[in-house]
Amino acid sequence: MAARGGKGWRWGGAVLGVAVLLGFPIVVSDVYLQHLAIFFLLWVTLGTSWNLLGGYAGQISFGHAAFFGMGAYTSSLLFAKLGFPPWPGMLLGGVAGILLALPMGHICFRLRGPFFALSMLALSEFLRLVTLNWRDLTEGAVGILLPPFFISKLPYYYIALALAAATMLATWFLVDSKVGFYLLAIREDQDAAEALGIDTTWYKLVALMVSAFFSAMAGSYYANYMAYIDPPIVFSIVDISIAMILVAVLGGMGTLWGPVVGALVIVTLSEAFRAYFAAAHLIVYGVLIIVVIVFMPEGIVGSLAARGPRWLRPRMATDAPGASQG
Amino acid sequence: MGWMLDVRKLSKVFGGLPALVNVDFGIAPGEIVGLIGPNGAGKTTLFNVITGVFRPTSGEILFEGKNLVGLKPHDICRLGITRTFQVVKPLPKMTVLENVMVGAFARVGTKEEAREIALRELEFTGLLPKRDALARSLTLADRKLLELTRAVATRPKLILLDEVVAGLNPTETEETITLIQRLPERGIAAVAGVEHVMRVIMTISHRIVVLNYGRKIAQGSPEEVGHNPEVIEAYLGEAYAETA
Repeated sequence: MAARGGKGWRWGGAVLGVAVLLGFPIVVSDVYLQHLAIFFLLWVTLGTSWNLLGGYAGQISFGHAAFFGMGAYTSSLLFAKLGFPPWPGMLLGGVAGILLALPMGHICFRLRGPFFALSMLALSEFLRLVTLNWRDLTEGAVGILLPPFFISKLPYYYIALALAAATMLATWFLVDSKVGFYLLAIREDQDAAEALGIDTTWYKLVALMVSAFFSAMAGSYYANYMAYIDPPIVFSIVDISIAMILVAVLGGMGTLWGPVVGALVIVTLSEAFRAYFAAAHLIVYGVLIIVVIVFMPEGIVGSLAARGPRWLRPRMATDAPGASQG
Repeated sequence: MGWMLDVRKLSKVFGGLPALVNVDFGIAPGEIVGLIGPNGAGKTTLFNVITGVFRPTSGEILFEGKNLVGLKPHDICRLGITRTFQVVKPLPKMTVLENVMVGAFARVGTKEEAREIALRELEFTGLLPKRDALARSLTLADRKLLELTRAVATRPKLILLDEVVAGLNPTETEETITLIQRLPERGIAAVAGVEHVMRVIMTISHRIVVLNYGRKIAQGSPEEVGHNPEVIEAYLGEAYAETA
């Protein structure tokens, strides 16, 4: 449906978007704004990776902090104990996320119902308690202090940008293929999906592994950027697990751009309200959830797209060139 | 006989309740078999056991010589048996075309190929004009048609149709029946499960199998089954069986 010259407009928009993203920290030299932009990109990564599993495959996780914290602790410990360089350590953090995802998915995805969601919650709490109490390895509540790797925020910004872009590209690539159709089919009706030849356990596991990989990389990134982690921060139910859900739900589950919009809203609002309400800024999360569920059950992008251009729509996929010409 | 699907002494017990008892039957390639039986006779259970949703308590299910017992529904679909559901299961937030593409992906890997197959099958069943509608917006008749289209798109050798015409008006029933009649020319055998002994099922089926209380009480040509006293009794009660 490239009528109305939509294609040229889209290319123009894409080039402009890339230019803005690449140029932002050069043009905007305010360190605080750069810091917010980095957090925005981090939340794009986290929201997008939760969304692949929760929004597209319909497998809701209440404990993605498990992967985030796993990634954070893996790369940090590798550096602190073995001197392993922290940026390649991000990749190993991601791999650790996959290794954690494998047994979880293998066990939980045979079952239906709330088992997976609750098992994830239990897993992240379990890991929080282990890291808190295994002091010989993790320093417990003292946490791990890392040296700052760069003085300027520029390198941090571009690494966050690369991570967010990689997560979105991976999602887009998967969703736009057979795998994407299968994940949606599983979300929509598992019995029908099985009857149509879909190995539902396997495809759910694939979505979980990709999701865990990027969430854990984001955790490693967070550790490297903040140069300090402790168990309550990286395994936080509210600040990580729930916030990831909120980013995806607010922006629009099962849409590529939803988590981007969700991340923008969450980072902006929680920053604005933190200044005035301190810890009570969490109320904002609660209010947002209610507002979104009541007024925009499909999320911001989902609701707008229903009336907007076809390529924005939450379903996907037949918007490939010529999809509706028959 | 050269059965494609050969069900032998199949039993399924739920708790203490026997839903299927020593059921034997076979399906030949390209055959249309009417599976009839009153509500609760075990038709859906039979479909669920054949397609791997439930494991049988005892018995064998051979498909082209391969034992299906213990396989998952998706394995069985890939071997060539698929089904439709008594309570239809569309993928509601996906379009009609996307629903059928999901089926087509059982045999192909790319979107282009799946789209091509899906469009062809939508044409076969007459749903093509509605390809861009969301599945949840369809009428019951169209949802049933969508399930059939999706099933055909997996390129099966055998389709099990659970309550194919339940809830359809006479015109829709005729249309569905006509479609089922055309399956053998595509090399697809079908088992059409229906609750009532209807003229339409009698006319299209090569063979009829009758279930009652989980047991096969009769099988044969439509005429034979229609005059079988046990079948009449199952549907109408003993008093009628004696006068028939």
